[in-house]
Amino acid sequence: MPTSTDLVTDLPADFEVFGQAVDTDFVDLLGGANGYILSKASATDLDFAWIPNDQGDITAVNVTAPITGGGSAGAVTIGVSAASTAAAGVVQLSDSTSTTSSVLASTPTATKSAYDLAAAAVPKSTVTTNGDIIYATGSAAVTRLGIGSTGQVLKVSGGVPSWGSDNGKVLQVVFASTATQTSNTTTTYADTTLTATITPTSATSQILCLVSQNGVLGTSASNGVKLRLLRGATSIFDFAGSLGYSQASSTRNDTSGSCSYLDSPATTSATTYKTQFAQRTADATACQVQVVTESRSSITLIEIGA
Amino acid sequence: MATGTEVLTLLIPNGGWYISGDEFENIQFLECDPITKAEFEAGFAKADKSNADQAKAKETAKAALLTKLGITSEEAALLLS
Repeated sequence: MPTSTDLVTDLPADFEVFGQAVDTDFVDLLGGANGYILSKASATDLDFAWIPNDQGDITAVNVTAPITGGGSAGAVTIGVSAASTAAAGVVQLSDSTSTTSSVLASTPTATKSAYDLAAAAVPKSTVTTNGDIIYATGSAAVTRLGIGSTGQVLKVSGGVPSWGSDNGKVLQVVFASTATQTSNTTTTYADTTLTATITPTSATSQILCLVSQNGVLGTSASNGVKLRLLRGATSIFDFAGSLGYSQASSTRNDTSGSCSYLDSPATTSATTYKTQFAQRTADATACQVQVVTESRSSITLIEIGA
Repeated sequence: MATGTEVLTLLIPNGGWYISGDEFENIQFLECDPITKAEFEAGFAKADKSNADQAKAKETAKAALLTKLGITSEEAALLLS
């Protein structure tokens, strides 16, 4: 290209060179679709590109739930649906701690109210075992009391609740009887067949034994029948030393012996009580108990709470 | 039917034994020589016969006494009333 000081020597040729340079520099302005706009393609001078006319302008508002409304022309209005248990949406806050609403959301105020109540409640971890109960140990302080044993009652000991035996109360009664004729011709104690077994509910219980030994037949003159009460194999109460004794007559007397004895077995195991009998002095004639069927003997065991 | 006590009284008259009911298994020979179960069971017949003999002897003695006194049993009962 000639400069401003050059002399024009070949104008057509110079215009051709100029025209070719314009075509080369502004080639990016060629083309483009209807409505397209020109956009810089790089930092290089005259480097452009045609692009769709959607840069910087909103051409449509498309919405999905919970947003409502929208559109692609004119004034566009949008909204938000209310929340429910079935769909997301906008929710209203509430300070209430008593509402049963399913669409309101609690505020920190309501949450704190609930928290304060929970913090003041008895911890669930206080109880650990089936049958536990809870009692106060002071202001806003509690502890657990494990369940007692069968037959125990709730009492107060040392100012606090505790489980204990039902003192002085009849806890159970066991009755037994026999009509088996039994004979002994020795001075060695032998079973009368009158026996009963009781299982105390507490080791501190007492057992009241009521015995009625009937049909006791003595032997001969100057002799009698001895009776005693046993717990297991241990003699605990001699209650007849010469029953049916007759000093002069040889007549044998059919009589009976009875006793009541308050025992403290100190066990919760099954405990058997029985009676034994023997001749006071050796005699070939048998002394007997339950001498006839109608002479039924009986024993009653009464557990009394200590 | 005799009782076990009556059988042992007959078989071991000096005593020294214990019995509950009428079963051999419930006998204790505490201060005497034991007998066998067969002996014990055979003893019931002996005891029954002994009881019958004693009852018969008692009736015979009563009749002889009434004859000796020349009164009836009703008259004897009247005397004892």
